Amino acid sequence: MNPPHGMDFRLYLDNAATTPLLPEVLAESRRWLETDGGNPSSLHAYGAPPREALGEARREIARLAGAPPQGVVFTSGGTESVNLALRGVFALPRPKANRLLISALEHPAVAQTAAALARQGVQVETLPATPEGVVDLEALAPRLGPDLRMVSVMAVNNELGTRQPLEAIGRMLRNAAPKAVFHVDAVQAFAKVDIPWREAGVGLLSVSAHKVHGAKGAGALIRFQPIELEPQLTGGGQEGGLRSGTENPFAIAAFAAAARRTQAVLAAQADERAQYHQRWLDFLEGFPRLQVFRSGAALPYIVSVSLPGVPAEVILHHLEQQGLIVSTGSACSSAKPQPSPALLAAGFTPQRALSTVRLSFSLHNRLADLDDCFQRWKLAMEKLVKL
Amino acid sequence: MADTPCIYLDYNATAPLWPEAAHTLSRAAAEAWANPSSTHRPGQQARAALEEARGALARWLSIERAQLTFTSGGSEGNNTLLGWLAWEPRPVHLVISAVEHPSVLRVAEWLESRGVEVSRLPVNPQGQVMADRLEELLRPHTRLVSVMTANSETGVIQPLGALGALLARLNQDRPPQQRVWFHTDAVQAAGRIPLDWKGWGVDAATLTAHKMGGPKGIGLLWAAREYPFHPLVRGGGQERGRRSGTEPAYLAAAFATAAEQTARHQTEFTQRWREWRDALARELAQEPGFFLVGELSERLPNTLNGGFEGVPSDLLAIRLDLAGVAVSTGSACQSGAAHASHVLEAMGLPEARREAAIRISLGHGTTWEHCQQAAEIIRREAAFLRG
Repeated sequence: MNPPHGMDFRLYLDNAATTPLLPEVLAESRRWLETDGGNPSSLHAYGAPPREALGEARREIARLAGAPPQGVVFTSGGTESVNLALRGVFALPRPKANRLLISALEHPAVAQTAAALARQGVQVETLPATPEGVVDLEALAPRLGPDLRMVSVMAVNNELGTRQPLEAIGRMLRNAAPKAVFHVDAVQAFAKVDIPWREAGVGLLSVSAHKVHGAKGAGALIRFQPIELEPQLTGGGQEGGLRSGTENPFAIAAFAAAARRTQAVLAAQADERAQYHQRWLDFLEGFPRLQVFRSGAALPYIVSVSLPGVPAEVILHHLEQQGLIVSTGSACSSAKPQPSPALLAAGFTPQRALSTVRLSFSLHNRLADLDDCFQRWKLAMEKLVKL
Repeated sequence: MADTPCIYLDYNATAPLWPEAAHTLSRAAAEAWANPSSTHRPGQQARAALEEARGALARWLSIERAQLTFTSGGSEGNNTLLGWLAWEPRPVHLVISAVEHPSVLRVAEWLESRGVEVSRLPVNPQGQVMADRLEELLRPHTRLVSVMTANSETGVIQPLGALGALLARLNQDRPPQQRVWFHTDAVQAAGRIPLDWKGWGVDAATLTAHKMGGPKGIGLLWAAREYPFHPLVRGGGQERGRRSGTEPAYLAAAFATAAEQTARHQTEFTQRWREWRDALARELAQEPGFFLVGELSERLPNTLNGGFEGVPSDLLAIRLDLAGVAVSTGSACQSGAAHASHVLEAMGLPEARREAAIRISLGHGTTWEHCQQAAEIIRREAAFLRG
């Protein structure tokens, strides 16, 4: 699984930022760019194949989520899905329920949209997290009530890899705020982690294609319940009127194919994934100067590790010189050396947060490659500790 | 039926991907696959591809690259560049034309529901916006005028230069905070005629790639430096905070290639399309009851709107489809539904013609043989339906 990309994906450890498109998915989906590139809304013969492709992808994404196909609204990606969920609900005002609860661990897509809603008069509250990197359920209980319109908690944190207690949140909502909408940003979880969304009481789920080896430019908001939303893009009335704009059959078909394949491969690799992750943790803990984030809630896709006193950018650079690609936190909010709010929420000091890199894994990262990775890591560390 | 032809004459719904753009897309999907916000080398390669595309598109449009924002397409561009009015202090007034695309019309209706005053600039029977009526529609609190560059159904090119000159004159007497901004939806005009936004006095514009042989799922918006819009999609702060969400660099690169192809062939195509379209019209005029829409106006060279009185357009389009000729009965964007055309209604076309009008639109893959064959088939089917 090497070039054509000129990149060795076995050494690419930034899969939470984006994953490479699977070549077989590209091959399978090309026809929607080339021979079958019609407008899915066209009534003539050129509209039918892409329209059917959208229907097939919709059924596949619904099946993977355990949702009804008509609940799937295709968007341009995870960020747009999140925006549609949050703004779409709060654009239909309910004076007696104007409160939004988010966790302190959320991705900027949720946090920044919530901040914009707050400026428009929505009462936004932030739930703290524990040092385990999970939302603090004890802080949730007293905040439930009939004035709560929505709770938005991510499924898996993108910087720490921690799975959030969605089932417990769902139960608490059912008991104490049954009318509140439960939105879950599942961008880092969908097709990777087996979570019974519907049973957990999730009403809206945001997912993205390019985190599961699909193409950028596709995502979905999945509705498990008939939750009323105001569309954020109006026009031709595509996607059941909830999202106007000519759909992108290529990226959407590739999304479904990639999600299906990723889900199947990762399920088959389950034991290997756990071992791969564990071996990284054990290896990194062998370096006295490294601080490795440990949590009982961690899933085997992300490792967060700090080298106190060394800026994350410098760590990244030294690892990259050895061919290992990691990241300094969420790629989306890069280029500004601010300590990550999510890491701070999990109890990191600002200094530690600024010295933290993230390793994130995909189906391309195999046990057989670990010795090579470790060798490269050691070489980078030798230079780093001299700094 | 073994030799049913495949004649696609619905380029205004969507254009097939230029082979050169398909090539760029494949290459960029392999080389610029990473997240453009990542600071590592693969991320920077994706960033470079994205910025190269932005630069090429900016050169093509003679605008500053920093003022160009990638979006998911035309509907998003229009929603963004009009939607900001919702957050302006009242009273606020918007002027649009009566023949805009649904993505402008629906936003205007939504704004109306939020207390924004909206006026609709009428068109004459030839489909041209009546520029001399603009001045009387303007109010002290008019903030925005939005008129499309060319109409998608009739191809009629709107007098943007006259509108822009009028607004420039009026803005001289207005304090800066009362300036009337001028937006154009150029989605249908792009690739068919040269765009001269600055020359026309336009402040902001919307484009999409797939109408000009680029891929679906990418568009751009241009906003002059002080144009006061708010981001519609919030999150990681990509696109200088104007549009969050991981940018699909591969789609942007293919968009740029489609623009290059378009620019390279513009003169040749303009001449060719106009010649072939007019020859097609002359051929169809041999059938009784034939009429053209907007033929006295300056039109996009590739677009023909017309029909045969007494021959219902929906039946004609279905028969043409079965005979291998794809045309449309209005805007394909209207999500499959066969709506009565608001454009033809605004032009005051009699019902007999409104129900008979079809749209034929040529593009980069159209040949003279296609046009000749199509003329023959359209005449045959029209004659059949007339009985």
